[in-house]
Amino acid sequence: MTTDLTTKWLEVRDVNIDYPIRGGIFRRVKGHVSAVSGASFDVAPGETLGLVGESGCGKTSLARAIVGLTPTSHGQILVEGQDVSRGGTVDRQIMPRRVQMVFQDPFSSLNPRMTVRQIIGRAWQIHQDVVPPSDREATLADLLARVGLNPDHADRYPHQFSGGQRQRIGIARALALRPHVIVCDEAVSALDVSIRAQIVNLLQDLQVELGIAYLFIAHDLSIVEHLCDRVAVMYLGKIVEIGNRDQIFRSPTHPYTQSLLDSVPVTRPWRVNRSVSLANGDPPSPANPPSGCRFHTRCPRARQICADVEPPLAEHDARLSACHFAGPRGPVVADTDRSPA
Amino acid sequence: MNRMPADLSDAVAPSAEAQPLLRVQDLAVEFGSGPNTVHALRSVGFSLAKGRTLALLGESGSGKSVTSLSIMGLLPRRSAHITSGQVFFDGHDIIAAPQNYIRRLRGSEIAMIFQDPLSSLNPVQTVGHQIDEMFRRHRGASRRQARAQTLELMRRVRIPDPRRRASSYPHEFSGGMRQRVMIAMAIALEPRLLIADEPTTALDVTVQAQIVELLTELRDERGMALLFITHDLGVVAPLADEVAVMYAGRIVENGPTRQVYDRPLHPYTAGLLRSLPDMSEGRERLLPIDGNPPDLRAVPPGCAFAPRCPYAIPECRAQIPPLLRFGGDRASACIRVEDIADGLSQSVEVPGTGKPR
Repeated sequence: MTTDLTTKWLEVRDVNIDYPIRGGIFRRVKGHVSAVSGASFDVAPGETLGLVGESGCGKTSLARAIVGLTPTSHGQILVEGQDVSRGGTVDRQIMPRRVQMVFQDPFSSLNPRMTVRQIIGRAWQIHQDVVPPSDREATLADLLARVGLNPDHADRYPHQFSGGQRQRIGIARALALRPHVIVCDEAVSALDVSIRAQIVNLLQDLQVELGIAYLFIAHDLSIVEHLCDRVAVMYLGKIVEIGNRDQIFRSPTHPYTQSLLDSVPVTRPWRVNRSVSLANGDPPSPANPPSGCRFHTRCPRARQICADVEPPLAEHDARLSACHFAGPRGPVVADTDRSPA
Repeated sequence: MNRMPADLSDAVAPSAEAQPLLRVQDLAVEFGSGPNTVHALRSVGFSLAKGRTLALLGESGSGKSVTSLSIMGLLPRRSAHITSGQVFFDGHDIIAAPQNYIRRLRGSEIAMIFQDPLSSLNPVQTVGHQIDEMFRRHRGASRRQARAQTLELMRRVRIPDPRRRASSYPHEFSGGMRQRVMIAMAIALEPRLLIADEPTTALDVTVQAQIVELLTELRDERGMALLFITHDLGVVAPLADEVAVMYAGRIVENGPTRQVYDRPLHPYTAGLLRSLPDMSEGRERLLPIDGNPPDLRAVPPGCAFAPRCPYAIPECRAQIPPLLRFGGDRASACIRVEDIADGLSQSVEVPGTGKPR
């Protein structure tokens, strides 16, 4: 793979994703839910960017928009400097060769009526010139071996494999067009603990061997810390903090990042000494986000300005953080307490 | 160390009480028949004392949910067969007892919360009405008395603005709030045993921590015993007095949580702990367990974990290793435990005579 190291492999610029709310007997559009608003980030050659947040924060919408499964309503998606998002939907001729996706559910994301050979070979039929027909058999065997499957099993159907093996098939399919970037949307979340580690190691090996970059979307922060070079934290459609791994995990400045980290269960809590500040209540509905800073309803640091003025994503302590009071954990400034009314 | 067959009937509560609240003995459950019989549980035994918490830990298919359904008498009647064993609640065998005996215990003495609160709530009745029903059906309370108790309970599980929320329907609640409703219903009649089957798995991490905190508080204030079923070793760490680790339908290790996590006595437990990325340790590579869990229609002979175990020797495949007492309150179903115990506690793989990685 020859690459110009100054070009980002993937750039997301100020992207909005809105879903229509329909109602009435004619299913007219009555309004929009803003799933993602003003998201910007980039993925450099060979790096792993983690995208974390809770359900409904927009991380899956972003992943789907990047691979062209969901239209954007504003902003640009650039692949190796080329804008592929004209008209809101990415170009399905260019995009799949550069960016591929691995899905969460290894059961529903593989066609049960196709053999492994057909599942992986499908991409080569659509994008004829990537692998010449005479090389396809050898490439298939190589791909299967690379992801840790027996090449002799190419004519088996998905149901003949276990969950972990199916996820390996999903990864082989993603590799078939030799993409530069793989979007992993909760790719290990559905797997059992003992299998999850196998797949995480496989992803790391592939990165070393093939120089792939990952956009790794997950809610499991311990896996993200293990795997990612940089991390973006999303809350209700907004990126609230983005920085390198140690900045996010060792010295988070956004109160949401802090409470997210504090909520992660620790396997041996008696070995660590940590102060815990849990967010109040539940995440609000993305259909009706709070005014100002979207986190202010749950934030231990919230003051009046937080409800009135939306904080911009601005540089703070060498990373970007969207908080009026960005800074290390400290005494709670506001008079809110943790027991809801 | 002294090793003796572990009945485990008093493993959980060494001295607390002569009779544990819940005692499961030699429980075996099969699904289906013929060559496709699924051996879901194979001789499972444990006990749980009043006010204590036991975590049943295991991956999918390990039998943890089948165990809880057996205790509740909720196994599908057509396909599931309890082929052996007893479940004693308060000294009475509830498997041998007539159906309406367990029916009377359910709700009032033993309550359960599930992973998915939405499918456990009636979508066309208000939440308040559903909680009221607990008091009206079981306690014969009047409408007004029931509602007063409902509001009190909603406040206790920290549902904000209970008076207004009582007239909302389940779909109007977030996942975390729905789980609070389920918890309110479960504790309404002050059961002595609460079974929580993956209660936090479907929830966001910030909400997960709140629910665990709430369950801990309720357990302590009401003196309930808690049987917490989960695949997540971290979630139960601060909460459980004891853990029982399940693999392929059997308990392979049992003991006080901290001891088990710090010094596992079964290669499967050790493998699980090693395969987790630990935010406090920071390791370059994860150490997965090789291979896949067995098909429960064709469980390998001997120790079911042997095909994946780096310490396995031919004897492991000869016969099913019994769960043996090891030291005071620990038990392990590994025949090599004395040889390998030191290696198991290491955070990196150092198999004595294991296969190379």
